[in-house]
Amino acid sequence: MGLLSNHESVVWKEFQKGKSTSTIAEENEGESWNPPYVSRVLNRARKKISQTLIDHAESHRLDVESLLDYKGILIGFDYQANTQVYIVYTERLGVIVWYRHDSYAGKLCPDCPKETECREALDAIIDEYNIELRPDEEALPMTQQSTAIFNKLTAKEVPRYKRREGDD
Amino acid sequence: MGGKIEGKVIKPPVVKVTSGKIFRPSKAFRNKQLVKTVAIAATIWVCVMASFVLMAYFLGYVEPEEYVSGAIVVGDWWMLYSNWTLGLNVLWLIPALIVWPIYINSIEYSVKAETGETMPEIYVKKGIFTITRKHVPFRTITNIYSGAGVFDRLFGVGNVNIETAGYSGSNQTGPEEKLEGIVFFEEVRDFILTELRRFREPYVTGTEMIYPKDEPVPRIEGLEDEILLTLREIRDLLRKESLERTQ
Repeated sequence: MGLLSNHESVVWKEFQKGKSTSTIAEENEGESWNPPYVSRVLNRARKKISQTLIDHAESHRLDVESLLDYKGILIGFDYQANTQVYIVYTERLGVIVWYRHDSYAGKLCPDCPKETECREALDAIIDEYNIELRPDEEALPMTQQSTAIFNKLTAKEVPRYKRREGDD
Repeated sequence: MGGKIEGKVIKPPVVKVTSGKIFRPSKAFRNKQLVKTVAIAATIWVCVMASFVLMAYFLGYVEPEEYVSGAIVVGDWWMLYSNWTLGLNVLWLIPALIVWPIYINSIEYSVKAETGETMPEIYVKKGIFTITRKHVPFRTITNIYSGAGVFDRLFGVGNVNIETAGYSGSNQTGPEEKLEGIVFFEEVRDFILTELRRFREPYVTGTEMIYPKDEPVPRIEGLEDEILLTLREIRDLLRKESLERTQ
């Protein structure tokens, strides 16, 4: 069994697509969900994810810089590797720990032996967190593209208090 | 639920700062130390027993009235002396035979970085209870010497000793660091020598910083003559040209 229960998983996915708790509740009225219930489920998911992110940061001996639990990302710093580290929760791959780097022992894509693994990890984050890259960002090597992805993820708007269209 | 879940770690290899490519003393070095320790124990036994026999015969010869003959004393007391000497020897020999392999296993040396470049320091790690990691910078090395004793040659190993100015005082004898029990010790010595020759300035005794330099043009025998000849040719051509202009 994964980290999240079925309801938590559904709510987390929909929330990351930019839907507010009330919208998610409306869409699942058939299962008698209401906004307070969705909010409670989201909070449970958020707490589980933030605890997992902190656990991973501790096991990698990171200095935690910021924890954005609504976005499923923790930013830390590894003094041994002297680099920033991003820890992101994904449903597909579990927790992704990404050490910011310019090359893999001097090798860039496609010579890097980790190319497939990196692509898979970044694609999972892009898909699950609904991140859109510009064409020039898509053309970047993954070492630089990853920075753009994580920056977009941290700058992403949290839909929790988002007004519904037409509520003005 | 809530436990550690599977994941993916994207982490490039971290360049090690303290040490580079590690090499250790050869297994022959361990064998040499064990044989040497047993040889020391055997030598102690031989010396003690020889002095006992000599003393017994000497006293029997000098004062025959007071002491019985040496042969009788040796016959009566040989086994007792021998057993005591062996027993006392075993007291230190067995711990030594146990500790030596553990100590040798703890030794690590490094002169080259993982990238293949020379490290700025020679790294030596050793110790069982107190583990020391020593970094001897190349710029502080004053002289090095290599050696292979009788036991070393028997087991096909050798040592490279590194000296610094700090160890030249009367109280501090011996080298700053020893790279012991290496099969290719001459190659290691040559490598360190080559690196040392890249430092043009005198060795460092304080906090001054010096850096190794590579020759921009390799020194080849006769190269200076070549340069001189070319310069002379240029001079002659210039002289000829100025003469032609004046005419």
